[in-house]
This record gives sequence, C-alpha cells and structure tokens, in this order.
Amino acid sequence: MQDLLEVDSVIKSFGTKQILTDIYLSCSNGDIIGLLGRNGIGKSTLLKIIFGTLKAENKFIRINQKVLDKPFQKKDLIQYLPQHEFFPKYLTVKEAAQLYFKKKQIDLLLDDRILKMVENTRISSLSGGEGRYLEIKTLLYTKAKFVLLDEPFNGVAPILVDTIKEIIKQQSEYKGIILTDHDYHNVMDVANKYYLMFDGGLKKIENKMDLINWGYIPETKKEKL
Amino acid sequence: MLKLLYCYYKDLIIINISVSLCVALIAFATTFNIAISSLVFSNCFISGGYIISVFYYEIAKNNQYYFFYNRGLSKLSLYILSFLFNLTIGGLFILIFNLCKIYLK
Repeated sequence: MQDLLEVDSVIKSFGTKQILTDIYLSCSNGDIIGLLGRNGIGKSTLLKIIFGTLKAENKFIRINQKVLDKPFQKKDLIQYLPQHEFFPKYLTVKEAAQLYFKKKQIDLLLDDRILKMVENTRISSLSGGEGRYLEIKTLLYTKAKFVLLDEPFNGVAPILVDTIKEIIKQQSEYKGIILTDHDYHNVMDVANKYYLMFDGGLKKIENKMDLINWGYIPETKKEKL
Repeated sequence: MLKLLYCYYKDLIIINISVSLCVALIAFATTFNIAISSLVFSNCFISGGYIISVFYYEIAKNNQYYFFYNRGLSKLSLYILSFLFNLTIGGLFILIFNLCKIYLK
C-alpha cells in the first residue's frame, strides 16, 4: 500500500519574523526528500511541525487522507531524529533497543559490526558518531511509515556516513524519508527529490547548479561541480 | 509502556529523593523530631520534589523527550503517568512511616 504524507499551508513566526510562509510538501514510500537551506531558515522548525511537537500559526498535516494535529502520537506512523543526541545516556545500547523493539528486531538492529561490538556499552560511553548511528538506525528500523532526519550526517565519520546512506536507501523501500543536512553532497547523493528552503518557502531543485543560482552554494564552487 | 515510563521516572526520582531529603534534613535540624521530618519528606516527595525534578528534566534533559515522543508518548502523558507513579511511591512512604510510628510506640 502506498502511504502518503502531505504538509500544506504551514505558517510559522518567531516574534515578528515569519520564517515559514505557506509551505507545501508531499512524501510517500520510496521518497527520500532532501531539504537544504541556510542556518536558521526553518528546516528543523518545519520537521518539528510535521512531527507534531511544535505548534504553528497554521498547518495542515495529512497522512493517508487523515488530518492529524500530532502525528507522533499515532503508533508506528512517524519518527523524528532531532539535531542533538536524545537517547538516555544511562541505558546500554541493548536496553535502548529493548524499549523500541521486540527480540527478533533487536537481533536485526544489532546485527552489524558497529553495534554488535557495543551492545552492552552504556550510551554515555559511545563516541558521538556511534551514538548518532545507533539513533538513526533505530528510527529507520521501526515500523514507522515516515522518518524525519534532522542533520543525520553531522559529526559522523565518512565511513559511517556511507553506512547510514545505505540504510536510508534500503529502508526507503518501505518508508518515506525527509532529511535535512548542510552536507549537500551527501544529501544529493542519497535523496531522490531535493528542495531548497528559501524566503520561507520551498524551491524544487533539479541539480547542483540550481543551488548556485539560488545562492546556497557560492559561485566559486561552480568549477568543482 | 511501563518500561518507558520507568525510564523517564528513573531520572526524576534521583532528583526528587535528593530534594526531599534536603528538605527533611532541614525539618529535622529545626524540630529534632523524626516523625515530623519523615512526614515532611513524604509530602515533599509527592509535591515540591516532583515539580523540581520535572523542572530539572525540562532544563537539563529536554532533548531526551524525543526518545519518548518517538514511542508515541506526549509530554502531558509523561507528566500525568509519572505523577501517578510518584504518588503511589509517596503513598507507600507515608504508609511505611506510619507503620513504623505505630510499631515503635
């Protein structure tokens, strides 16, 4: 079955500054949508509004024809990876997994060379990259139909970035994924649709040249593209 | 669900017990009465200690709420469920202190 997430008419202001002005976005399984944009343009704000933990002046979130105010409260529907680590630090990797999965799925989650080695380690003792990897893999392995990833490549070693990209591509078969990161090379590598947040709205991006034209990448990078 | 709630509550109870013990010690230092200070401890544990521990969580561990949001638990449901859980434990403290009082008489 095709699942569809539609985000429409999102308006959000902080004080007198309106940062999101009438946003529209749709995502279905198979989609990996890359959101790019400058710092403070409202990417994380948009993801939090979609997830349902941040209020907006106006918003319309519809999943499979149902309008939802707080989609995160529906079981197995949507997951959100915030910018900063969010797993309780006193838990071990295995204990954290047990709070998200049943036995069989835990084995599946921990069945890789990185997590197998640290399954009994406390999250506080993991490196930043390992912790991030655990969080991303956990969210992507849930039954949720949509996953929102806020800066998944931030602070992660290149070898782990490749593994994360593989998992994102693999899981996108069953899910719709929206991700945002400043590492536009990796975003454009893994995503199959791209948008640039600009002036409170979303501009569809076809290629890296569009990023120069919209002023996201400096002209000096032109010859490297 | 209960495991998740326990995971949230575990962070709260450490702060709550510390705050309640401090208040109880102050009560003991002023009254030199164990019965009164244990009553102060229980009451603080149920009310002020709980509020301070939730406030501490809001300030120091705000991002950790996403761990629970991703399992479908809202902040309000965490507040309500942990308060009820805390009330039960606080009630047990009161019961134990009262039993001790009766037994020691």
